[in-house]
Amino acid sequence: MCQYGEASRKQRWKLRFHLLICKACAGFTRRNDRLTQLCEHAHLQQLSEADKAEMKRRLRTHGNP
Amino acid sequence: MSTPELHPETWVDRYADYLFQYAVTRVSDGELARDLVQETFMAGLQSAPNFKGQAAERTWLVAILKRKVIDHYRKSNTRKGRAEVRISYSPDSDLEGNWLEQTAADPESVRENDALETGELGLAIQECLEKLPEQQARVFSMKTIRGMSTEDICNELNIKPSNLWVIIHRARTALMGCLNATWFS
Repeated sequence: MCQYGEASRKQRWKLRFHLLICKACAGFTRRNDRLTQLCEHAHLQQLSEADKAEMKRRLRTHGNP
Repeated sequence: MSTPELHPETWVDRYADYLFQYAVTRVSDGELARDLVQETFMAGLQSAPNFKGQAAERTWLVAILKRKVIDHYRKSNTRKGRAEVRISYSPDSDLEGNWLEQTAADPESVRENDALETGELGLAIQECLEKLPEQQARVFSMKTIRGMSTEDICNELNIKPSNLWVIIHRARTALMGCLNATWFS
Protein backbone atom coordinates (compact mmCIF):
# COMPACT_ATOMS: atom_id res chain seq x y z
CA MET A 1 0.00 0.00 0.00
CA CYS A 2 2.84 2.37 0.94
CA GLN A 3 4.74 1.80 -2.31
CA TYR A 4 1.68 2.97 -4.26
CA GLY A 5 1.26 6.07 -2.07
CA GLU A 6 -2.16 4.95 -0.84
CA ALA A 7 -1.43 4.47 2.86
CA SER A 8 -2.74 7.09 5.27
CA ARG A 9 -0.37 9.01 7.56
CA LYS A 10 -1.49 6.86 10.49
CA GLN A 11 -0.86 3.65 8.55
CA ARG A 12 2.60 4.85 7.51
CA TRP A 13 3.54 5.64 11.14
CA LYS A 14 2.25 2.27 12.32
CA LEU A 15 4.31 0.57 9.64
CA ARG A 16 7.48 2.53 10.52
CA PHE A 17 7.11 1.61 14.16
CA HIS A 18 6.50 -2.03 13.28
CA LEU A 19 9.57 -2.10 11.04
CA LEU A 20 11.70 -0.93 13.97
CA ILE A 21 10.82 -3.99 15.99
CA CYS A 22 10.24 -6.65 13.31
CA LYS A 23 13.32 -7.85 11.40
CA ALA A 24 11.33 -10.10 9.07
CA CYS A 25 9.10 -7.27 7.86
CA ALA A 26 12.07 -4.89 7.63
CA GLY A 27 13.83 -7.42 5.37
CA PHE A 28 10.70 -7.85 3.29
CA THR A 29 10.35 -4.06 2.95
CA ARG A 30 13.93 -3.73 1.73
CA ARG A 31 13.35 -6.37 -0.96
CA ASN A 32 9.98 -4.86 -1.81
CA ASP A 33 11.53 -1.41 -2.25
CA ARG A 34 14.17 -2.96 -4.50
CA LEU A 35 11.42 -4.50 -6.64
CA THR A 36 9.70 -1.11 -6.93
CA GLN A 37 12.99 0.46 -8.06
CA LEU A 38 13.58 -2.30 -10.60
CA CYS A 39 10.07 -1.94 -12.03
CA GLU A 40 10.58 1.82 -12.39
CA HIS A 41 14.02 1.36 -13.95
CA ALA A 42 12.75 -1.24 -16.44
CA HIS A 43 10.12 1.10 -17.95
CA LEU A 44 7.63 -1.76 -18.08
CA GLN A 45 5.03 -1.45 -20.78
CA GLN A 46 2.06 -3.56 -21.66
CA LEU A 47 -0.58 -3.61 -24.34
CA SER A 48 -4.02 -2.30 -23.46
CA GLU A 49 -6.92 -4.71 -23.11
CA ALA A 50 -8.43 -3.21 -26.27
CA ASP A 51 -5.25 -3.90 -28.28
CA LYS A 52 -5.17 -7.46 -26.98
CA ALA A 53 -8.83 -8.00 -27.85
CA GLU A 54 -8.15 -6.75 -31.39
CA MET A 55 -5.16 -9.08 -31.73
CA LYS A 56 -7.24 -12.04 -30.56
CA ARG A 57 -9.98 -11.14 -33.03
CA ARG A 58 -7.51 -11.02 -35.92
CA LEU A 59 -5.90 -14.29 -34.89
CA ARG A 60 -9.33 -15.95 -34.76
CA THR A 61 -10.31 -14.51 -38.14
CA HIS A 62 -7.09 -15.62 -39.84
CA GLY A 63 -6.90 -18.90 -37.97
CA ASN A 64 -10.40 -19.97 -39.09
CA PRO A 65 -10.83 -18.71 -42.66
CA MET B 1 8.08 -38.52 -29.77
CA SER B 2 5.10 -36.16 -29.58
CA THR B 3 4.20 -33.89 -32.49
CA PRO B 4 5.13 -30.26 -31.86
CA GLU B 5 2.05 -28.20 -31.30
CA LEU B 6 1.31 -24.50 -31.36
CA HIS B 7 -1.55 -22.87 -29.52
CA PRO B 8 -2.32 -19.61 -31.34
CA GLU B 9 -5.49 -19.14 -29.28
CA THR B 10 -3.31 -18.56 -26.18
CA TRP B 11 -0.58 -16.44 -27.82
CA VAL B 12 -2.05 -13.05 -26.91
CA ASP B 13 -2.64 -13.89 -23.25
CA ARG B 14 0.68 -15.66 -22.79
CA TYR B 15 3.16 -13.79 -24.97
CA ALA B 16 1.78 -10.42 -26.14
CA ASP B 17 3.16 -8.38 -23.23
CA TYR B 18 6.58 -10.04 -23.38
CA LEU B 19 6.81 -9.51 -27.14
CA PHE B 20 5.58 -5.92 -26.78
CA GLN B 21 8.26 -5.19 -24.15
CA TYR B 22 10.85 -6.78 -26.44
CA ALA B 23 9.72 -4.69 -29.42
CA VAL B 24 9.28 -1.39 -27.59
CA THR B 25 12.83 -1.48 -26.20
CA ARG B 26 14.13 -1.93 -29.74
CA VAL B 27 12.02 0.53 -31.71
CA SER B 28 11.17 3.05 -28.92
CA ASP B 29 7.69 3.59 -30.33
CA GLY B 30 4.64 2.04 -28.67
CA GLU B 31 2.39 2.08 -31.72
CA LEU B 32 5.04 0.63 -33.99
CA ALA B 33 5.88 -2.03 -31.38
CA ARG B 34 2.20 -2.99 -31.16
CA ASP B 35 2.00 -3.33 -34.96
CA LEU B 36 5.16 -5.46 -35.01
CA VAL B 37 3.69 -7.79 -32.37
CA GLN B 38 0.49 -8.06 -34.40
CA GLU B 39 2.49 -8.84 -37.55
CA THR B 40 4.51 -11.41 -35.61
CA PHE B 41 1.35 -13.28 -34.61
CA MET B 42 0.09 -13.21 -38.19
CA ALA B 43 3.45 -14.43 -39.54
CA GLY B 44 3.49 -17.12 -36.84
CA LEU B 45 0.08 -18.30 -37.93
CA GLN B 46 1.20 -18.49 -41.56
CA SER B 47 4.42 -20.33 -40.71
CA ALA B 48 2.80 -22.66 -38.20
CA PRO B 49 3.10 -25.70 -40.51
CA ASN B 50 6.90 -25.18 -40.53
CA PHE B 51 7.16 -25.22 -36.72
CA LYS B 52 9.30 -28.24 -35.83
CA GLY B 53 9.12 -27.89 -32.07
CA GLN B 54 12.90 -27.50 -31.71
CA ALA B 55 12.37 -24.28 -29.76
CA ALA B 56 9.74 -23.27 -27.26
CA GLU B 57 6.70 -21.50 -28.65
CA ARG B 58 7.76 -18.13 -27.22
CA THR B 59 11.36 -18.45 -28.45
CA TRP B 60 10.00 -19.18 -31.92
CA LEU B 61 7.74 -16.10 -31.81
CA VAL B 62 10.63 -13.93 -30.55
CA ALA B 63 12.73 -15.12 -33.51
CA ILE B 64 9.95 -13.98 -35.87
CA LEU B 65 9.66 -10.64 -34.07
CA LYS B 66 13.43 -10.17 -34.29
CA ARG B 67 13.21 -10.48 -38.07
CA LYS B 68 10.30 -8.00 -38.12
CA VAL B 69 12.38 -5.46 -36.17
CA ILE B 70 15.34 -5.93 -38.55
CA ASP B 71 13.01 -5.54 -41.55
CA HIS B 72 11.64 -2.34 -40.04
CA TYR B 73 15.13 -0.84 -39.70
CA ARG B 74 16.10 -1.99 -43.19
CA LYS B 75 13.06 -0.25 -44.64
CA SER B 76 13.60 2.96 -42.69
CA ASN B 77 17.30 2.96 -43.61
CA THR B 78 16.53 2.81 -47.30
CA ARG B 79 14.35 5.91 -46.92
CA LYS B 80 16.30 7.97 -44.37
CA GLY B 81 19.82 6.55 -44.67
CA ARG B 82 20.55 8.07 -48.06
CA ALA B 83 19.54 11.55 -46.95
CA GLU B 84 21.73 11.31 -43.83
CA VAL B 85 24.74 10.17 -45.83
CA ARG B 86 24.25 13.07 -48.27
CA ILE B 87 24.24 15.50 -45.34
CA SER B 88 27.35 13.98 -43.76
CA TYR B 89 29.35 14.12 -46.99
CA SER B 90 28.27 17.58 -48.03
CA PRO B 91 31.14 19.17 -50.03
CA ASP B 92 30.81 22.37 -47.96
CA SER B 93 31.10 20.61 -44.62
CA ASP B 94 34.18 21.27 -42.49
CA LEU B 95 33.72 17.87 -40.90
CA GLU B 96 34.27 15.99 -44.14
CA GLY B 97 36.61 13.10 -43.59
CA ASN B 98 35.83 12.87 -39.88
CA TRP B 99 32.55 11.09 -40.43
CA LEU B 100 33.71 7.80 -38.95
CA GLU B 101 35.27 9.36 -35.88
CA GLN B 102 32.23 11.54 -35.35
CA THR B 103 29.83 8.63 -35.38
CA ALA B 104 31.93 5.98 -33.61
CA ALA B 105 30.81 4.91 -30.14
CA ASP B 106 32.49 6.57 -27.20
CA PRO B 107 34.42 3.81 -25.37
CA GLU B 108 34.08 5.72 -22.08
CA SER B 109 30.30 5.93 -22.31
CA VAL B 110 28.23 3.49 -20.24
CA ARG B 111 24.87 4.73 -21.50
CA GLU B 112 24.63 2.04 -24.20
CA ASN B 113 24.99 -0.65 -21.55
CA ASP B 114 22.34 1.08 -19.45
CA ALA B 115 19.81 0.84 -22.26
CA LEU B 116 20.69 -2.78 -22.88
CA GLU B 117 20.40 -3.62 -19.20
CA THR B 118 17.07 -1.80 -18.92
CA GLY B 119 15.72 -3.75 -21.88
CA GLU B 120 16.87 -7.07 -20.46
CA LEU B 121 15.52 -6.22 -17.02
CA GLY B 122 12.12 -5.43 -18.53
CA LEU B 123 12.07 -8.80 -20.26
CA ALA B 124 13.18 -10.59 -17.07
CA ILE B 125 10.30 -9.01 -15.14
CA GLN B 126 7.80 -9.85 -17.91
CA GLU B 127 9.12 -13.41 -17.90
CA CYS B 128 8.58 -13.66 -14.14
CA LEU B 129 5.11 -12.16 -14.51
CA GLU B 130 4.23 -14.95 -16.95
CA LYS B 131 4.99 -17.50 -14.24
CA LEU B 132 2.57 -15.99 -11.72
CA PRO B 133 -0.98 -17.25 -11.32
CA GLU B 134 -3.20 -15.41 -13.80
CA GLN B 135 -5.03 -13.23 -11.29
CA GLN B 136 -1.84 -12.19 -9.46
CA ALA B 137 -0.18 -11.21 -12.74
CA ARG B 138 -3.27 -9.30 -13.84
CA VAL B 139 -3.68 -7.35 -10.59
CA PHE B 140 0.04 -6.55 -10.39
CA SER B 141 0.07 -5.34 -14.00
CA MET B 142 -3.02 -3.19 -13.54
CA LYS B 143 -1.67 -1.60 -10.38
CA THR B 144 2.06 -1.33 -11.02
CA ILE B 145 2.47 -1.11 -14.78
CA ARG B 146 -0.73 0.63 -15.84
CA GLY B 147 -1.04 2.62 -12.60
CA MET B 148 -4.78 2.03 -12.20
CA SER B 149 -6.50 3.12 -9.01
CA THR B 150 -7.44 0.54 -6.38
CA GLU B 151 -11.11 1.41 -6.82
CA ASP B 152 -11.05 0.86 -10.60
CA ILE B 153 -9.29 -2.50 -10.27
CA CYS B 154 -11.72 -3.66 -7.57
CA ASN B 155 -14.68 -2.65 -9.72
CA GLU B 156 -13.29 -4.32 -12.82
CA LEU B 157 -12.35 -7.58 -11.12
CA ASN B 158 -15.17 -7.51 -8.58
CA ILE B 159 -12.90 -7.93 -5.55
CA LYS B 160 -12.55 -6.08 -2.24
CA PRO B 161 -9.59 -3.72 -1.55
CA SER B 162 -8.34 -6.01 1.24
CA ASN B 163 -8.35 -8.89 -1.24
CA LEU B 164 -6.48 -6.77 -3.78
CA TRP B 165 -3.67 -5.98 -1.32
CA VAL B 166 -3.31 -9.65 -0.42
CA ILE B 167 -3.02 -10.52 -4.12
CA ILE B 168 -0.47 -7.71 -4.67
CA HIS B 169 1.55 -8.90 -1.67
CA ARG B 170 1.63 -12.47 -3.00
CA ALA B 171 2.51 -11.30 -6.50
CA ARG B 172 5.36 -9.11 -5.26
CA THR B 173 6.74 -11.88 -3.03
CA ALA B 174 6.69 -14.33 -5.95
CA LEU B 175 8.26 -11.76 -8.29
CA MET B 176 11.08 -11.05 -5.83
CA GLY B 177 11.78 -14.78 -5.57
CA CYS B 178 11.74 -15.19 -9.34
CA LEU B 179 14.00 -12.19 -9.97
CA ASN B 180 16.41 -13.40 -7.30
CA ALA B 181 16.66 -16.70 -9.13
CA THR B 182 16.91 -15.26 -12.66
CA TRP B 183 18.12 -11.66 -12.66
CA PHE B 184 20.44 -11.53 -9.64
CA SER B 185 21.93 -15.00 -9.95
